[in-house]
Amino acid sequence: MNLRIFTGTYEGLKLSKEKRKSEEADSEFIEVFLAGDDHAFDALVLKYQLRIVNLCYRVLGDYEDAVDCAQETFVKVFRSLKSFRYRSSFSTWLFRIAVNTCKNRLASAKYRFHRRMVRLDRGQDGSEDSLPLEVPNGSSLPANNLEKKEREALIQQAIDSLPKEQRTALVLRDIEGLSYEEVARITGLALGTVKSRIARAREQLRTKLKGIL
Amino acid sequence: MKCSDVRKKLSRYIDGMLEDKMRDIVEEHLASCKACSEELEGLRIAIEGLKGLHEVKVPDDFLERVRERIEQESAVKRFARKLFYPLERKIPLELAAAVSMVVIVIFLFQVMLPLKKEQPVEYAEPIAEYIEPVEPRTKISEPVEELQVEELQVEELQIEELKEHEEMLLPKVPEVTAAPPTELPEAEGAPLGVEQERIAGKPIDAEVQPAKIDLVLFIAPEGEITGAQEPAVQVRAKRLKKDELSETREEFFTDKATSTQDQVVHSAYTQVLEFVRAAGGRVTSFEKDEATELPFSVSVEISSSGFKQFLIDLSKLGSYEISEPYASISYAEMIQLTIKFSQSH
Repeated sequence: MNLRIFTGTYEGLKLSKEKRKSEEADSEFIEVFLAGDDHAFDALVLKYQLRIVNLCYRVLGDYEDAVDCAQETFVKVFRSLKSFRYRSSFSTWLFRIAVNTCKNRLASAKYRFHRRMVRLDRGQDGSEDSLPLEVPNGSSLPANNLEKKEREALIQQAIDSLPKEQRTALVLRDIEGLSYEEVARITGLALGTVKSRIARAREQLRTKLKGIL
Repeated sequence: MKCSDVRKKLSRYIDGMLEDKMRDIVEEHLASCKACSEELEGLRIAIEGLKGLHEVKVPDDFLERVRERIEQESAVKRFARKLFYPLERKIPLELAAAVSMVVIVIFLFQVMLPLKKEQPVEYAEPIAEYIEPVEPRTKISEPVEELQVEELQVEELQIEELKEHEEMLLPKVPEVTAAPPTELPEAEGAPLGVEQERIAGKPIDAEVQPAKIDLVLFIAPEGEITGAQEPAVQVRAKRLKKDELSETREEFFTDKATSTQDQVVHSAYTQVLEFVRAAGGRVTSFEKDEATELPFSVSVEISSSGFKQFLIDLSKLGSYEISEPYASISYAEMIQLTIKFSQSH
């Protein structure tokens, strides 16, 4: 398979060199995996696990749920990798699966009940004391960062309170840092819809966090 | 432009998603409107707040757990596929020919309908009110030596036709069913006794009760029929000629690399379960031989309305003849069926 061809099928020309390299690496992993080497799948998981876990965490608002959801996402990827047709980049496809998995979870009645219980357990601010944060250099957070931790918990709470459609678009754009077009591809929405959802989400967030930020 | 309109555009403005003209209008407004400028700033800070959120860590065993889940899933799927899903694979014809030597005999006993074969016409009358349109075979199965696969046509017969049908059957029945032990070599066990044994009929009353039926599915290599119970319905599969194997028959076969006989049992079993499902029935329990992993028996529940279709489907596994005409068990709501699989040796 000629790996270079597919980058031209979409916005390939606009992509940064770095992004293109990343995608070529992805398709190489896929080819190797399809040829029978399971370790290539491991490589994909290791490459994307941090982003997917974080995406799920910001959308779902609960760490354990996020890990579970992320695992489920990769299982689905494993299952369907054979039928991946390169119509989009692998990362777009992966994110789409992750988003849909999150959405299904949010929509399930079981989950809504579970969330209500979690919120009661946690207490009013809904913060997670034991949230494992990625801290650079592995150093512990200095004292004044406790404040920051609380601040972040409040921001997450504000995100949680957004309607799930707005929440997803906002997380993809402002936390994952994806382009509008990418968000549109992942969510399957029209560009205009993406723009208005992000706009409304930001406005709401601004209102909710007025005192804090 | 009004403030409320501008505010709606601020998010797009921040990301440079406004057309040039609109962007200029917004900027012009912002230059002279403090409130909107503050709003813009507020939005920017909120976005910065989002960007600044710390990433959460990935647990160390994340990949391992993903792997575990993949493993679990495929184990479950394999199991389910073996039992309950129709088989998708195609099989080479050579293998099909080898499997074609199946004779499947299904004996129904404890059918609660009293029909003496000597006087089928008479019985047709008294139980007419209980008979729903019957769909028995209209073909008499040929002697086993003839090897043919036929698509089975099933017709709805009215009561009058039923009589005709019984008349048609009547002369043949003794000929065919009386002889199985001799027609088919190596028959073991008690004589099939269709022609002799009476199915003790219980009076048909209006009381609805679940009909319990034991169905023994005997799977035997070519020519053999084993185990004799009192059959009221005898089903015999025809041997398939290699080149007559139609595409649909490919469904019969598994890709299990076991003996041909095992494959036959498995495929028959899977087919039977599929028929159960199609008839709106459900499996209540099943037994498997631990050593060989071959299905041993399965208990199912089928509604009486689906039971007819179930028998029709069974007839697709082979042709069958009805030694005595029967009616669907319309007075029973649910039929509990135990299907036993047995191999001859």
